[in-house]
Amino acid sequence: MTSVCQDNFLREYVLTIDAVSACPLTSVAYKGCVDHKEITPMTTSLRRWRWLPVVVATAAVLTACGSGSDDDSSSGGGAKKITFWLSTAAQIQGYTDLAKEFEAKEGVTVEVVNQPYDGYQDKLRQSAQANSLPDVASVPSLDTIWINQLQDLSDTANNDANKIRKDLVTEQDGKVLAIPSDLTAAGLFINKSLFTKAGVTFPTDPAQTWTWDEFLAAATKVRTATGAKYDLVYDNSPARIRAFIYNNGGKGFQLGSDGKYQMPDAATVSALEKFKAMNDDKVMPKSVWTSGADPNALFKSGQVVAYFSGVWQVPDFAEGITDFEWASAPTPGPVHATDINLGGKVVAFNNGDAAAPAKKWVDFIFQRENYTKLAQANGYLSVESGLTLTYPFESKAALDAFALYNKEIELADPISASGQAAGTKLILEGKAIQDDPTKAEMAKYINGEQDVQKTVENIVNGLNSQLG
Amino acid sequence: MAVTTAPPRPPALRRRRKKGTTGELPKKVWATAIMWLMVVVYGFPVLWFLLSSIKPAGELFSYPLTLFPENPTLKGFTQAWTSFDVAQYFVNTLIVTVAATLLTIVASAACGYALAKYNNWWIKAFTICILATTMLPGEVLLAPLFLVVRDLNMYNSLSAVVVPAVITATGTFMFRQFFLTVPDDLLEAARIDGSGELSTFLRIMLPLSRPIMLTLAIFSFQWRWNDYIWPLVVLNDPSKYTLQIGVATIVGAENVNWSVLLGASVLSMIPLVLIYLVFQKYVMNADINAGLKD
Repeated sequence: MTSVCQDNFLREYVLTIDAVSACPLTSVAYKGCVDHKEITPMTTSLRRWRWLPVVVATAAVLTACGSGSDDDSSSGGGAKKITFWLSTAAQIQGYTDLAKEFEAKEGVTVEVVNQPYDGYQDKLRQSAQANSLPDVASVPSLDTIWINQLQDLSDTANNDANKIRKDLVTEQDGKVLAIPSDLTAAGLFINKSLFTKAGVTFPTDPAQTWTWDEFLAAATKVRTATGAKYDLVYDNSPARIRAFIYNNGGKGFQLGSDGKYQMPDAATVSALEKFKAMNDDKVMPKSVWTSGADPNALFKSGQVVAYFSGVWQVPDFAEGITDFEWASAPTPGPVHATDINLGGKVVAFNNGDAAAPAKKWVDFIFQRENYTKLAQANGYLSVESGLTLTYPFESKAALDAFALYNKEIELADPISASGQAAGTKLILEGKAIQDDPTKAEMAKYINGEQDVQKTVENIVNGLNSQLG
Repeated sequence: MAVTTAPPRPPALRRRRKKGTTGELPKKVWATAIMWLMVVVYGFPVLWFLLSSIKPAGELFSYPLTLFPENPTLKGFTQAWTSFDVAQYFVNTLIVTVAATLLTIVASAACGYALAKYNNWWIKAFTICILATTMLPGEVLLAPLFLVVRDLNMYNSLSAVVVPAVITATGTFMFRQFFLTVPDDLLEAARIDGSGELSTFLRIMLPLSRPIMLTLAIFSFQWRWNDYIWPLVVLNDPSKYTLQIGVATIVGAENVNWSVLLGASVLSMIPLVLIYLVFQKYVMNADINAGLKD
């Protein structure tokens, strides 16, 4: 109805205008007239609406206050409900199961919230500013912005019954700030079907592993015999290339006693040279390290003999690879090392009356029998030593892979965990590497834009420039 | 002049028209062929995306690539549906999107009208200020905007997503440029007839700008629907999350569950496609000059 009225109203005006503009004199004279007339009636009628912005602004603030106070009452439900944030694509079931048991035992509801990984750190920072941090969280890394709001978890971490690996907890001034929820380790996957087809054998026991040269020779043999495209794809990540450097005898990029990154040893430099030589579009496709091709997808296509990634791929492969058989193979040597990292760091925030139940929840998670359930359900590599875990995978390859990774971690050279240790150390000093230059510099090196010496220098300088 | 030139014109026109009809056929074929090529270029990835969403995980990366799924499955969809509260997130997204779109149109129309039709030094300065906001990337504004929203007590409410989105320089400018093309004569005629400023705006100018309103509505709807980082930062309670946040939870740190992500992406697209189908005729007819001549 209204639109019809408006249309009629409009038509009248258009007709009037037509009549006016038909007059030959309009253009100059009439316009001048308009400019003159414009000011008086408009300002007076505008004055009538002066109060409008004030009303709108007040209304906006009032509604905002209204909704704000609503939130307070909901989160102020007190110690009967706590929130637990984590970010994971699939490993959540274990926590929701434990949360139910915790509620039955302690009468405290745990709200498990899965946050997107992209932006999770930003979100935590902003939440800290808004005083709405979760009560407990599993975070990828600690942040100087909220590190002073953490509770001391030493009762849980130092409880001998739990047998949590002491070298993995984040400790500052005798306070335990974070306990890792799980370990991750880098490792090798092979396309078992291709190996079988080519009649090439591979080691299965990490104690009797192969060297990179032996592995590459075997992979080339498989590739030529089966007509596959590449020997290997390698995750484009600073953490993954650490494993390659360690395997080849290098110490990689380590923090010196002055708290700065040191120039790496000669073995590291030659390992990087070796890595570049592998990017020849035969052994490895250049596209992964130079232009962001997805190594996971390449391996899943069945066209690549092996894939160097890590334990987190196992659940994905168990479901997502149906066209061929895959297997986890021991990380090649000569040095038996990998890159061991922490899956998530469990922290408890000091949030008023939720602080006590939050701490209880963390303790509950790491009690030996609960942690066993959690690790099994989520497919975690254990942070508690001596646990016997039976993972719920149907796939034999996945079960074997977990068994192999657990062995690998026991055998791995201590240097394997140095990458994450350095990161933790920097955070505790109030510094952080926000943007690791390794990927960008290695891409330039592989593209032939700079030599290895320049690459190494740029990486070290790039890291140190972020330490302030 | 007119008399002498008039007679030869009709035959010339006729001849031209004849030539045109014979010469136009290949032209039309070419034009249509190019259009179809564009349809294929744009449509093929979408088709592949839709077909991939019903492939089981094992088939997604199989070599050689296949377009059609061998064993179609809806597992990706069911997993996506259960991995987060799709219905709740959908309602939240709808509230945010509709509210923000309506308010954006009202604010942009009013502001654009004022910028186009009122002459004042401070209005001109204001125009430049609005233009300036487009020159800052969103990331720069994130932190200060967050502080403002927090201090207004809007943190963790849907209004925190709606309110900062209302004023858009693009929308304001679309309306300003449109209202500049509306002749001042129309405004004058209204004033002469005793129409107040507000009723002139509401009853003449707004109806005139309907194509712009619809164009902006579609843009705004799309912007708000796809918003990610801002809702993620200002919403804390998972019952207030929007769809895009839910979809993003499927992307992990180290790997992506593609089959579930594809299912979730298709689910999150459906409403937007439906809205487009309903409003299609307005989008296609977004005739910017609204039939007015000046």
